[in-house]
Amino acid sequence: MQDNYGGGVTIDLEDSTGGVSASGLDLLAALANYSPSDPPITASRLAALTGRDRGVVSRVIDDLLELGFVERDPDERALRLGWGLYAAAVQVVELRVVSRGQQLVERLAAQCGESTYLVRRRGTQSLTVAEAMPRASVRGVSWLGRSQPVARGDAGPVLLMDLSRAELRALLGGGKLPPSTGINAPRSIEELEREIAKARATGVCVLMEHVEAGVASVGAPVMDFRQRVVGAVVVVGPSTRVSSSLATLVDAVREGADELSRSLGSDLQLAGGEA
Amino acid sequence: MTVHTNIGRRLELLACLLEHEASVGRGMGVVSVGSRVDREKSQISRGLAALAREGLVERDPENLEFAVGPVLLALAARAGSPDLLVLAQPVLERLAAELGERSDLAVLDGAQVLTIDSVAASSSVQSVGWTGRRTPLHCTAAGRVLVCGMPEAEIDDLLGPDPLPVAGPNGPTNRAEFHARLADTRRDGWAVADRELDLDVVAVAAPVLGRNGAVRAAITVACPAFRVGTRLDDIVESVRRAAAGLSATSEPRG
Repeated sequence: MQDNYGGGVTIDLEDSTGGVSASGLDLLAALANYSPSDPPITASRLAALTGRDRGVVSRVIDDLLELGFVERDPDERALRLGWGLYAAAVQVVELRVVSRGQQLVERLAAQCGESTYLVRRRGTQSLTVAEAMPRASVRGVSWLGRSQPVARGDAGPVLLMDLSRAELRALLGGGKLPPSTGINAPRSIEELEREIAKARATGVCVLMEHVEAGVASVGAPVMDFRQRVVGAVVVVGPSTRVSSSLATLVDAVREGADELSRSLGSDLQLAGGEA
Repeated sequence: MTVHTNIGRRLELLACLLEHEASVGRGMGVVSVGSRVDREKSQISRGLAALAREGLVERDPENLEFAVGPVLLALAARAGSPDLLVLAQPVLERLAAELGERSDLAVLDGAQVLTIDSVAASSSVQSVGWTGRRTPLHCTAAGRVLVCGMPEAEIDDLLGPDPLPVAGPNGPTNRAEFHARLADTRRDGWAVADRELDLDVVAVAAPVLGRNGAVRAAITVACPAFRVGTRLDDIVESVRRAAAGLSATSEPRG
């Protein structure tokens, strides 16, 4: 039995024995499905929603309240999944994106034979939080801990893709983009917006000599359980080499970023940029 | 922690993994789960296997440690009130930009104040590392705001039977002091905690009210004491306006 819950999360409700969930996932999913327009969730409503015995549900709820997975809305008094779960998940993502991101860039650097980075947006800046160089690299430029203007950096359009038009303009101050040494760098916010739209449509961002002459990059978004872009994986190399193996690089980067996103609870459906 | 159902016993293992990974960023082996949850190793293994079948837990194929699974993270996207987070974000950004100070959204989680979103002082940078931070309710402005609508008996339950732990230099040292400050919060509809939690931090908080008038959350601005100076009234006014704007009943109290 496959059910599609709220945020596009597909949850298999049956364990291998074919019975109802042994871990109460059906109860958690019913709570997750609640929307403010529904009648408030109580033990009896939860029992009705899951087809479980009301007395059992009531005792399980006591446990869920004790464990902090569930809380009572202070205003509506209804049951819901607890804020503590949300906050802990955010903390897990913050740590995982870097630790698993490091493993991923190492694997991609070896696989693609190019320098690979994990970059994150901090306001108007793009910050490198993990990097790996291929063996026998002649470049070996370390960007770790360094930042550059997000509109000018590799994977910039990817890091900006979950912002609405208004948010983008507010962030970049509506005016001119910072200077660039790249030959094909966007010259206006409108040009940058076209690149962002392309990144949204394709899930990947190829920048040929945008950042620096002779250098190209392939980047893809890392998204978390909130469908927020929490980083980008980007492979950087000489533009001649990147062009000649473009299809392979695009696949590798996209697959790697998707895998990291899935481990952060993303269902890989972009919520759309027009918030 | 006491749970009484089979589901509760399974989910206790999950809570243990979640808490551990949220603080140290890694998974746990069966033995270390066993050191936190008093149960037989075979029961823990079976419980973790059941959780893994449903994607609530995953096992690293290399080091064999268990970690929280993607299904739990996906559920977390619907925890608390997601609508409040969406509405609050631009409000926090505006407040942080206006005051040049970090702005937080906090809720009550048991007897603690839990930060659920935070925007750094410099232009709309999501300030990482604050979400998930917990502070005591008795010595924080947000804490007083979050409990100000509760009956005394409920607040006493939250504070527990022990003497209040010592916090910053001006933190309340006994219940009478706490209740006196809470009375001020109730009268004013906002709270200031001047060096109550930290040596050098002044925090201002105001309530976000729900449809039924209960406090759903608090908006807080915390800044170094030396930067407050004569700005306190302005900070209070900005925080109150921001919180009132987020309230379902958009009339600020007091």
